[in-house]
Amino acid sequence: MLIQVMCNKLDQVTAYIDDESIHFVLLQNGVYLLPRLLTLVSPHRIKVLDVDWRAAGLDAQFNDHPAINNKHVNYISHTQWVVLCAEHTPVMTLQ
Amino acid sequence: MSAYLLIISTQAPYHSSAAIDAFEAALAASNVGLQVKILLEDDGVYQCVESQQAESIFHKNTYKKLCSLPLYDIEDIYVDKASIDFRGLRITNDGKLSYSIINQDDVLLLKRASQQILVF
Repeated sequence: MLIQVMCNKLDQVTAYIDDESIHFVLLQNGVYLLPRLLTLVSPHRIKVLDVDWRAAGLDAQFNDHPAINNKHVNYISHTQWVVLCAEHTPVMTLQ
Repeated sequence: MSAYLLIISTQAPYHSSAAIDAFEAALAASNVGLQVKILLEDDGVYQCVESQQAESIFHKNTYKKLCSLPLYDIEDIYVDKASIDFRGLRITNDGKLSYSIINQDDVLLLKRASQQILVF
């Protein structure tokens, strides 16, 4: 299962964090959730849309965060995002 | 203290029109002679992150827009410290964008002293 997170609301995500088979794609305002989500979920379960992350300008804000700094988080392109959505069933969107 | 319009911007800069709506409302109000003060609160504090790269999503940079506010006689910009701390941001007043970081008590005073409040 793939969850697309388009909002900065941790309470909408917490119900799904214990299921290791669920992966998250953060996009739009969902990218702001990354630092807090990393405290609850392993980085390998999180993908972040690269252009939205750069637009938010948070790289410089969290460059000393171990997971963000060491690039353990997968930053993906639009094409990779589409591939992920095609590969996973179901895909759920939180906004 | 003279009467002023307080515009509270509570949304992140992109992916909704709220931030730009707040900005344009501020310009419009200043244009008709109102004294305007702006408060960035909740996710609105993301607007004053300097390293935004809005061109990657074909938007105009919100931080730079905020920097232009003094050109429109809007010089009182406040940022809620609690919102910054909750989000783990390291925002400092670097001089390009002139604003004051204020605590919850001062936020309340700012709201109480205003004549009108618009929340976006």
